[in-house]
Amino acid sequence: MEDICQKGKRANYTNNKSCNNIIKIHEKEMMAIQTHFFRQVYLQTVYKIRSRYRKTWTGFLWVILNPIILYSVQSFIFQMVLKIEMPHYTVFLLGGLLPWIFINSSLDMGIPILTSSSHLLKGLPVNPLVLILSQVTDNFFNFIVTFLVILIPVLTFTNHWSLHLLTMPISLVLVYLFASVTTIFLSYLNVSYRDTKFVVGFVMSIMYFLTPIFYPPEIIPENLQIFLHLNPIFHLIELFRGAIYEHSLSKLGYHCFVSIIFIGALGSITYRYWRSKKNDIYHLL
Amino acid sequence: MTSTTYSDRALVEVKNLHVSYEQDHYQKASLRDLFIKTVKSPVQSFLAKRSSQIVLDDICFSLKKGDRLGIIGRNGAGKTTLCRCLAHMLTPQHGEINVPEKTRAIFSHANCVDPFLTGRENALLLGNYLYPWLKFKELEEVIEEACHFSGLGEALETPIYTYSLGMQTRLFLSVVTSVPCDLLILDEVYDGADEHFKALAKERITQLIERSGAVILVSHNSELFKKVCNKVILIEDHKLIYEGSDIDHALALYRSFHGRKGP
Repeated sequence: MEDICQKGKRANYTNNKSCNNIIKIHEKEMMAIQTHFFRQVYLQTVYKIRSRYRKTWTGFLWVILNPIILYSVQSFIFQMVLKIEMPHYTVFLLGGLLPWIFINSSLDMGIPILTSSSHLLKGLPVNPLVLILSQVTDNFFNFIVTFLVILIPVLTFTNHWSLHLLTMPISLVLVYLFASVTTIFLSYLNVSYRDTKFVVGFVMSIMYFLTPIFYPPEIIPENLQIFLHLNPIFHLIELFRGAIYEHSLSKLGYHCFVSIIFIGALGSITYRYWRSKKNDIYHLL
Repeated sequence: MTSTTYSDRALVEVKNLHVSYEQDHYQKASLRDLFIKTVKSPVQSFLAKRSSQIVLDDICFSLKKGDRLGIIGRNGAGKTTLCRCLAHMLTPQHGEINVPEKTRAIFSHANCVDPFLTGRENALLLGNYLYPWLKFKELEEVIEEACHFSGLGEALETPIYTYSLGMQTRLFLSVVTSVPCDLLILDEVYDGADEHFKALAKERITQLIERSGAVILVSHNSELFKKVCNKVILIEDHKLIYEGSDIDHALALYRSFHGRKGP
């Protein structure tokens, strides 16, 4: 055996200490990856939307019917049956429920996406972020359309139009970023811990009651208000309500600031998690 | 960066490559397990030493333009991990990797992007991942040609989930073999499809290999190595045992380790 080994060129090169710990990736290559990234997300999203709607208007209606029915039923129950006395309750509920449905559906559909697409991720050098972001963007598109489909008639009916609606894009960008970052982190976690999806589903069903979605935040006792402010979804919902319901700019800065802090913190945790666990994630897929 | 730039120097360079995976996951595969372990013995679960499993240890090799490298090794030796490192899917703990920009890696797992999309749409998305450097117009032309080559006809307009495995492989092989690149990594992608299409695809793959800058081939088919490769490396127990151009010798060495007839 020694003989055969010596015949070929021995591959154990002298251990060059200087090249240890250096991982070179071409800068040019990284640039190229970034420019290609957006086209990949764009195409994947467009095709995902196509496959969901089956290229017809009725298919599109089917997708937005679920949140519309949920909204109608809740608004009927709380206003007509439980008789919550709030001016323009339908507008109030809209600002809370629709962003909630968007975040919830993004998590629900986005968390298992890496494990269900493992054949693709292991088969080709596809950036996992492309798959997750395209799912969140698809849901975001549905959210915006559903939101407008409900908002325009509701505002017209209640005559609650205001120029404050112009702050909506800020809320939309922040809720998109929050949903993306959370889904990315949890879908990575779902690769290592396969029951993450169920645990998140359980936590979200509890959070639905702990977040002021169908009740005003003011009714929570003073000493418990701190917990409310530790809930990132509360701040995002308040941004929407500021624009469509309360018509006030006074708390816009505060809620924006806190939301950005949450998104930044979660983003940096996700990035660190990905950097340290990348190999294990591929290994476990 | 065009392929001609690499003609005078090494196209692919791998130095002191070291990759390992964490082993703890097997004990904590779910949040429930993690919870039970943490509640049962909180101190131990925090202080427990993390064990790691070495997959590649001190791998060094280089390829010039025109080289066709075969990687030999038994299952679990680290062949696929090495290819994934070259495709930047994995980040090595130590070491240096230099590969050209137009590197394309194809592993045996892939078949389609989204089963609910039609064959043609899947082909376009697949092409978008494989050839991101192509302009959209060029990409559409490439996919059109690949769809034509696949010979699937009207089936291209139906969703992929209605396809048989052979049909999926046909479409997949047609797309992945349509554009040459600087470095082509093929990890056991020769299987599937019927005999007739296999013969067609083989010809196309051979042409692709001829037109590409360098090729890395992982297979268990010793005939293929002899036919295609001019260089082989042998990985045994996560270490590089042999690097050279004597394919018969490498195969003999491999058999001497395992007492088997084929790689």
